[in-house]
Amino acid sequence: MARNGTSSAGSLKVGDHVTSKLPAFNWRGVIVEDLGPLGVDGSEIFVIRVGDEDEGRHFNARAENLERVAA
Amino acid sequence: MGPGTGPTQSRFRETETTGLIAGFKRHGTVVYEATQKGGARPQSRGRGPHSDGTSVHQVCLVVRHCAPGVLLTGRSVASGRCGSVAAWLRSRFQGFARALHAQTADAIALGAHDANYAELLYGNLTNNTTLERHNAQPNSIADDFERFGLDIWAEVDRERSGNDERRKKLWALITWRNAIAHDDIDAKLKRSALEPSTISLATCRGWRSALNILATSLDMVAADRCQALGLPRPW
Repeated sequence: MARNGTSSAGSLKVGDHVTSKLPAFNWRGVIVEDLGPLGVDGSEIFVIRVGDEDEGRHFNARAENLERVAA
Repeated sequence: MGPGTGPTQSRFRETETTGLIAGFKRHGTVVYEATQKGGARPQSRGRGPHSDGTSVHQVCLVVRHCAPGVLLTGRSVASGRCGSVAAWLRSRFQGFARALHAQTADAIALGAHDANYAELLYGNLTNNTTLERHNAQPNSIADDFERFGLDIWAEVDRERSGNDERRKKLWALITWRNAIAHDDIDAKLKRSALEPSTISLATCRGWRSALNILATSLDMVAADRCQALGLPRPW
C-alpha cells in the first residue's frame, strides 16, 4: 500500500491537539515530539500522547494521518 | 581538547560513513565537517530525531581532539570531559535506536493492505516503547524490537562476530553514564559495580567504535526482518 506524505503536516507542531483523519479511529491526543521525516518514504512522524500526562499512552503517527483540532 | 588541537585549527575530515553516522544521515541529521579555517560547517541538513545542531561527527571530533592519556576516576569524571563524552555517546545511541525502531515499525506498517490497518499496526508497534522511558541499554532495545518478532541480539551476534563483546561495552557505557548522571560513581566503585573502574578518553573511543559497529549491525538486522516478513527491503 502506498502512502504519500502530502498533508497539512507542515503546520503541525509540538503541543498541537490532534485527531486521526482515518475513520476507524476516534482518539484525541497531543503532539509531544516531532521525530522528523523518519517515515520510510520521508513522511513526518510525530509522537502522540493520548490521555494523562503521566498515565497516557504514547505512540507514533504519520503526519498525513493527523488533523489539528481545537484544544 | 588539548591546546592547539581544536577543530577550528586543524584539518580534519570525518570519512567514516557506517553505523551511527550512516543511520543519522538517513534520518537527515546535520553532519559537520571540520575545516582548517572556519571550524565546523553543515554539510547537509534535515530534521532528524535529534536535529539539535549536533551530530555523531561532532562526538568524533570531541573524542579525537581531546588530550590522550587523561585518566579520571571517581567524582572528577562527573565534571570532566570523559563524563560529557560518555553522556553524549549514550544520548546519540539512544536517538539512533529510537529512530531505527520508528522506521522499522513504519516499514512494517506500510505492508498493510489498508490505511486504517496500517495506522492501527503502526500505533501498536510504537505504543509506550521502552526506549521512550529508559536508556538504550540492550534489554530495552530487545524489548522494543521483540514487537517485530525479532530476537534482536541473537541476530546481531550472528550478523558480526564480536558483537557480544560490543554489547558489553554498551552496558558499560550506560552504567557509567548513569553513575555520572546520578552522582553515584564512588558508591558504585565501592560495590565494584563499574567496569572498567576508571575511564579515559581511550575508553570513550572504544565505546564510540563499538556503538558504530553495533549500529551497523542493528540497521542490517532490522532491514533483514522487514524482508523476512515479505516486505521490500527498506534500506
